[in-house]
Amino acid sequence: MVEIGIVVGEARPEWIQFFAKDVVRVGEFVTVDTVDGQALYLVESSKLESKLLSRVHDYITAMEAKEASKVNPRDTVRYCTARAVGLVKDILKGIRVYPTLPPDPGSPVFLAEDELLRRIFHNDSKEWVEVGRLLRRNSVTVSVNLNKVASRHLAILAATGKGKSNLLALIAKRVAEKNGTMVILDYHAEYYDLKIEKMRFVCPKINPRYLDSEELADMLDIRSDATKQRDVLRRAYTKDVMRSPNFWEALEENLRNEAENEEDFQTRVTARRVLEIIERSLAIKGNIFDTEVESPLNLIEPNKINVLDLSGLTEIQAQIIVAHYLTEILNDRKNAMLKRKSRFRSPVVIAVEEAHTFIPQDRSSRCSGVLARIAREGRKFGVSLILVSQRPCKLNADVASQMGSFAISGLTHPRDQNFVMEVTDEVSTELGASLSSLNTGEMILTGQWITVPALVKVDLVEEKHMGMDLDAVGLWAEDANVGRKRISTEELIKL
Amino acid sequence: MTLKQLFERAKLVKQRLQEEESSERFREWLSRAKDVWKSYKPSKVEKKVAAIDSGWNYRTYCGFYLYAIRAVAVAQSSETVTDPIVDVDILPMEDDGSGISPELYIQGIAECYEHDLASKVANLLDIVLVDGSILARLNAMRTLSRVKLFREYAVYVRPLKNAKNILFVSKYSQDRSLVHGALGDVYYINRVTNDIGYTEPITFERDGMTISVFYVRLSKNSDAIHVEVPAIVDLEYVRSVIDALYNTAVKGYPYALMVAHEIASLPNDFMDMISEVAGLSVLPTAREVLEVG
Repeated sequence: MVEIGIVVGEARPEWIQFFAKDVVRVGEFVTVDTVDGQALYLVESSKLESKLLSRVHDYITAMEAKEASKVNPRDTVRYCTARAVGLVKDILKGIRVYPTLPPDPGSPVFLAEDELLRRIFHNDSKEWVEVGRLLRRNSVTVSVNLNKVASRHLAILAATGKGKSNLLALIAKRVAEKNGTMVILDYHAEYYDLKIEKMRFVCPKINPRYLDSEELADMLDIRSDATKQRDVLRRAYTKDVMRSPNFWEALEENLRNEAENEEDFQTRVTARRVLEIIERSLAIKGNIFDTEVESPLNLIEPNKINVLDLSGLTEIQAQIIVAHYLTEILNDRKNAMLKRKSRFRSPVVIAVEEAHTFIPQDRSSRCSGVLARIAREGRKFGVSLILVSQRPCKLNADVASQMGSFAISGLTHPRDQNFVMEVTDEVSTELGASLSSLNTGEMILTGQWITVPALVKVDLVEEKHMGMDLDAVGLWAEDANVGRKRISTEELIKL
Repeated sequence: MTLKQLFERAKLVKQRLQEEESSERFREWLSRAKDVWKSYKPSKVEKKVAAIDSGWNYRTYCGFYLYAIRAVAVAQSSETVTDPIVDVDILPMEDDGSGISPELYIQGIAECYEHDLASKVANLLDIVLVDGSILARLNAMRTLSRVKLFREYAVYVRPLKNAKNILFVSKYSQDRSLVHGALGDVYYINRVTNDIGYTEPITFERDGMTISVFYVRLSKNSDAIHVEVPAIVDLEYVRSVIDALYNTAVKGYPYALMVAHEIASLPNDFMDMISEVAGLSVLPTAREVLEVG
């Protein structure tokens, strides 16, 4: 074992500070002997300081101090803090047991050996899947427990461009390899060109008969403040219309009656306006309505990765669709657990892209109720959530706190960092401070799906193209050359 | 009330300084300082340099005090050049009837240790820097000659005689022997010069020793430092000192002395620990007596 430092200052069972001989990076694993046995620690902060250069207040003195510091190795201080992630002997059994006493001051700090980390992070059991490598040990692969994702929920919280979509695609790929069922609520059409096995793209359909008049008004794009138009629609949307084999014709007939026969002039005008809105809405996105579809579930295939394309919808429309689909899925799984007729005989994982749109912190949305219910009760029925968001502080904290596992990266806003620290007890202030410095694909994985928290370089999904910035210049050049004959320089000279 | 009087006195000092600065003799002192200063363009010369410093602290108890001293000789790399000298002891305040304060007494012992270290390492190195002024030390000892310890002081000073490579360095010298102004020489030198340079060494006789005194500035725009060597040295010697030290000087101060100061220091929390180890932490100190009530 390589000794890299010495425990100094105040040590606690869960936390130590040490001076290091050489560079020790955040995310590195070290071991220290305690009275309970060898404990594994994750380095959460690493500071490098020249005592001399810390005291200078001007450029010239700093330049002089730099030269002086070079000749004195004692002037450079490497100071690290590390959090205990458990006793090695218990971690190897898959249990997290913390030391009951801190190591003695002056205890040597050792770099954890690759072989030990391999035994901790790599798991070949069927419920474990590989997602990447330890950020500081490229030779150590990291496995996560899919059972925990499918039962205790997962939150992927990372800034734009840090690899959220890649990780979700990777999880989808791994779920597909295990014949699992997954529904990805794709709000920004990020997965339309993802080409992995068993993946299917679903244009969501909804039967307007199952909507109440307010939901129908939202789906038809009637403004929320157009109360008169909504009143007219409510009156026209009768039970007869709901039961009618020709739903739209029956609805339009009621509205026409009002437009022609209503005594009040203003109401007649409003009814005509609602008719125009329906006509326009059906022309633009009529394919989303299907008056014959029995259940939205028929569009979702078990044992497949179903990408539900919500990209053409407004926020409210997407919320309504999500509410209906998720309610049906939850009810179906309840039936499955009660041995009744059901479509999904095995657990369903639901991934919610742009989760802050569907379960916002400051208000309720059309689907926040069902999402909160799944977060609370989903485990009992085999329905789990993967929440994906780049603004975690805008997520409903109650729902977020139900997440059993986390993948976090690149959060720069202090409110987002604080939110993460509030909902997970394994991301400390020190580790949280390093979040903003993580590069694309580098994530802190923590919670029940991983043996111990770790900084991981997530594998790149080769089949994935989404989330990348457009090569606009390349595309323009390609576009400009379409249909034009290529002429060489020699040919141009001849001309 | 007293604060107001203090401020009024401070204002008078300012007034006096302003008057002084506008006087003819002040201009003469500045002119003299300018005349004695010689600019120099140094070239880097690698030499074996070490610095000597001591740190001391004490705790006063009823009827005695506990002191600790640590004297070190270190290179710029923080490596010790020879074994440090450490001393921890208790003494009654007036052990030999002299009645001098613990500060003076402990400082005297610490200086003896510094001189001892300097003479030990002088043969091993090109330059040995000691923090302080040998002249000031010897002057102070003259006034304290009735104290037994200081009769022994000479024993530690004598080996330094003619040691050309032992340099006593003062940052805040009060010496007025060069410019003969109202304030210390270094005040006038710093007012009229700012480049790397030096003054010609002048010599003094003290207790049978010849001591050469000169000023050097090791970095541009920094304060000049006062150097004393217990031997006769020439201009070539002074220039070689600058060549050896300027490259690692920080704000014009030799870096080795900064390292020695840091390693030797005995801050209060160390003293608390020493007091604990000596089994004295349960006794009230003089300071704690003041805090009662």
